[in-house]
Amino acid sequence: MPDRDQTTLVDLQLAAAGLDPGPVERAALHAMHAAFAPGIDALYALPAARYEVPALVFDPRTPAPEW
Amino acid sequence: MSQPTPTPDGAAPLTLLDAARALREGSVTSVQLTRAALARADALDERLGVYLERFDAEALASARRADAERADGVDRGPLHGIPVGVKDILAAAEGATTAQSLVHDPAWGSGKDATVVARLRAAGAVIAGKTTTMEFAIGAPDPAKPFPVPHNPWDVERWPGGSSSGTGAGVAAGLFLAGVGTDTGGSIRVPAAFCGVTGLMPTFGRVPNSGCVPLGFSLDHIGPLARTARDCGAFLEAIAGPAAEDPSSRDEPVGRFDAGAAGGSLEGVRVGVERANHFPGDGDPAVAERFEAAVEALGALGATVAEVELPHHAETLTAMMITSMCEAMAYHRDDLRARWEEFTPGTRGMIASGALFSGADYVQAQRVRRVAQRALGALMTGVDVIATPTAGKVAPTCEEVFAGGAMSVYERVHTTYWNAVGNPAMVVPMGFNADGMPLGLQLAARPFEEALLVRVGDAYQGVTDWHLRVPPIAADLATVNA
Repeated sequence: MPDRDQTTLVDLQLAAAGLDPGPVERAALHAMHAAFAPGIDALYALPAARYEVPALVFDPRTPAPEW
Repeated sequence: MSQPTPTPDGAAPLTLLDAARALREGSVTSVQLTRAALARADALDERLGVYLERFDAEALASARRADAERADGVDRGPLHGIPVGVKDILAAAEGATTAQSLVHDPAWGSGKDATVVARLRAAGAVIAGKTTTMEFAIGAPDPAKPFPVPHNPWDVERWPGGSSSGTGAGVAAGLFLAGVGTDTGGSIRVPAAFCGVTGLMPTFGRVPNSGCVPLGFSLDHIGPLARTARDCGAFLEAIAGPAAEDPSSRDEPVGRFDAGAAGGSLEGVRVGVERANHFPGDGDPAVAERFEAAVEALGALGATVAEVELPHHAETLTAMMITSMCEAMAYHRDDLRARWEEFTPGTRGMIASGALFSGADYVQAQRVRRVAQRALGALMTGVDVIATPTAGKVAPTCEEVFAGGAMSVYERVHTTYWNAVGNPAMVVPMGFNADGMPLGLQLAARPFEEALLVRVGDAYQGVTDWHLRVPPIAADLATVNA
């Protein structure tokens, strides 16, 4: 069961994204956030990631035409 | 397994390469193959929901062209004259791409071919039609929407897996000899496992994604589903290679992906077996039984077998989920805001979860992916291939999927790790459970070593026949050859 702070946080995040799901789907998102929160913290706690470079590469050259 | 393998009704060869051989020998024509495939669709598709749209007239015209070219001595390769299905998140000039969605702009890609479809066409393949998926390749099928719900040919009360649902079911039931799927978290490999066919997710960047509706920009892989590992290798050869319009595509050599498949021996191949994270307590007991038999078969073929554990497994799965949902949210946010009710509930719920992660969380997920890549790279200096089951259970019933949404399925599959790290992975059938539902063996290799996967899969399929089993719904079909 997500605590009240987490519930408030999720509601704020959804509002910031402009989303307004109904109560059943909102509750599912609250539960999903509660389930994921420890996993997210674990990503930051991974020692090997402390000085790792993210898997993001920016190429300054002009991109080829889009498809 | 080197002789042509007819379907039980004798209408057509069962595998792509058998069909290609028959076409070259002149014992069958592309028009005959295509008519047989269309007739199968006439007979079965109301129950299977493979197609969103069929291109019968265009396919027959394409088949006639292939036959005429062959009569003139033109041979475009093994796909020349072969009917194939294309998942309906890829553009094809014949019709609109729906992404199985009421929200998707029907003008998107109108009149154009995705790079992969254009390559298939250049290889002489016959595009039979567009196949079913889940909305935007995520979530769960929704019977309330005006799109066919795909069903599993082995038990039509069950789901074929997703999101390349129609392609997997269509190959299994013989509606086409091979097809295109896409895989962001298992969407080629799960339908392959649930439908008892072979599916190959190539290395990220091996096949250009241009002309494909994106789900996770850094996780999407386009690849084949077919009857055999060699079929998948031949198909991949036609679609692989860089394209300027997809900056994530890689300029790696494209050779014969089945070049190492001769002989069947796996002498010198080191197989790592991952049991640590792949046998949940509530799994189907047949999964462990069939997996151990498959590992034994690989050993009997000459491979050395060692126990391994995938590094940073839990963190990598979390990183993959954050990445996929954030990337999907970026693409769909404005439509979710404006047209929430038009989305399928399972799709909108999954994508909306991308709003719950911060920008820092997304970047941290990309750092963890690098960590996992490094550790996995070190692990794979000691093994060449890693074997796991594809899923802990067989295909769920459609009712389970409708009721439980996507999460009920994702909890039972073991595919997402490989999307996070980008390595290629292949699924080959490894048997059936007590209810007669297919099970899949997943094999993963180092980046751009798809040829090794084809070699290992082909060797395994040389000593087993799970991949040649045909679901009863297709076996009972009357001869329809022209």
